[in-house]
Amino acid sequence: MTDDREFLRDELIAVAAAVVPDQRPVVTHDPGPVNPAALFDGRGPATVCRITVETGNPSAPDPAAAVHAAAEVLRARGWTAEVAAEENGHHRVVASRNGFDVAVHAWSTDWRITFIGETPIGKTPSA
Amino acid sequence: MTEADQLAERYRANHARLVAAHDRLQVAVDAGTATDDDRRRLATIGELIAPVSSTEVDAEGNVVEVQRYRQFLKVDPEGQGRAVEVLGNLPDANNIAVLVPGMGNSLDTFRGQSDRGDLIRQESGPGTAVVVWLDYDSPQGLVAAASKDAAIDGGARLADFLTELDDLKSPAASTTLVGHSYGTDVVGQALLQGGRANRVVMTGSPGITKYIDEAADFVQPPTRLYVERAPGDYVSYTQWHGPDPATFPDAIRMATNDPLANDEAVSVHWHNEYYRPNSEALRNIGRVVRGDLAAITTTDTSRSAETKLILGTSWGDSLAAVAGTASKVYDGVVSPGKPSPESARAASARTSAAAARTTDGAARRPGGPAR
Repeated sequence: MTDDREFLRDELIAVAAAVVPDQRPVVTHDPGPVNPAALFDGRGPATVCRITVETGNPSAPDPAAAVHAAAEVLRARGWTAEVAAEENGHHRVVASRNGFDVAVHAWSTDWRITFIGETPIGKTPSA
Repeated sequence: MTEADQLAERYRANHARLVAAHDRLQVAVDAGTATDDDRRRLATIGELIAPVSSTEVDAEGNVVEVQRYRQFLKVDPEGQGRAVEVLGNLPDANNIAVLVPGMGNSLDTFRGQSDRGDLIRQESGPGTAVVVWLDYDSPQGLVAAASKDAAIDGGARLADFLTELDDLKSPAASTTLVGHSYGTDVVGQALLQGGRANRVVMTGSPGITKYIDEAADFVQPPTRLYVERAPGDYVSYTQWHGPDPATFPDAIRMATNDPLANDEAVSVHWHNEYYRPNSEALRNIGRVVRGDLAAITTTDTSRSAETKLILGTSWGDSLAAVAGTASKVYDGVVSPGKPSPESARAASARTSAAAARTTDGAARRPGGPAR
């Protein structure tokens, strides 16, 4: 799972850096393994890592262009990526690869582009 | 001292409380007197006192990392432990979600709940703050979860917190209660005890209480109840604590899976996947929290249809019947007397009608928003 976590973090940073090349992406959420609420809620082993990376172009935000660029970069890196229809100012990319899931969010009311990734569910945690 | 200063001071005081607990536990570890529980708690608190990152823009227009300590409105590092954490900027938020976790939680599982809160915040968009509210003794096992005592006790505390929240947030900000599993019972008890929110979301609910079979029994207008039950959610099917809110005629039953999506869509099944990134279940929660109610997608699937979808044979109704019998051995557990599958189907139809005529947004039928 450590390998999965590192792979996901590296991918999110690389995609974010490619979408906004002149800014440095920031990892804003990477708490480590959590349980995916197996059986009930808090019970169960921690088997999933979720990571959030943020970047953006504060001087000239363009959320529609940003998600299309993100989808292209993800595809070029081997991900299946689809740009969802814009929903009241919410722009999104849905991406997956070998059990990893990524959501890219951009909004008409914010300059931030947020990349959220989740490692595959159901793997046994490493020691 | 301004209200913002008071809030900042409260965050600082709770951080200091955690640091003090960390120091005490570290002394025990260093002295060789710490138990395994002490060591686990030391690691937990070490995580809670570590700074977290966010992004801001500097004077040159660069995106920069800003670090600060976590924002706890309340924390109790002793015993099972409790915590109430704010994710985001509470005083300036337009939309606030209060996440109430279910059974099996403690301070040592708080990472997972805070993580879930972050997913809700990101899904709900700019201007959202999430309060992860674990200020009750979450049941630590099935027998304990069969009792409603923790929900009744926690509900009173949650109702008090919602009143307190009114003084911490902008008057114009909307509050959405989001309960999962046993947490939906806590939410229900809070509403029965006077707690108020603009909207209420329940995922994977075991029911509220025996006599509650419609939202109007505990949700005061104009607040609306939004419910999710995923295919195969055994907790909802058992109706341990009362009729399944997914069958309430005046609740809005939100879709957990995108009916138009292709095979690559993120599926939500069983009891544990409502908060998966990109899932229709999480998207709908985000829509409710940010008030984008017209974009909500709904469903009216029955238990039997859902379970047949998963394993090829219907077992949801049988599980409900078995659970009804088994529940009688537990103190405080009610037998699910209703609804029947037939009434559930009828209720789903009425739910759809209710959704269509909702006054605060026109929810969509399956098919969902264009995508």
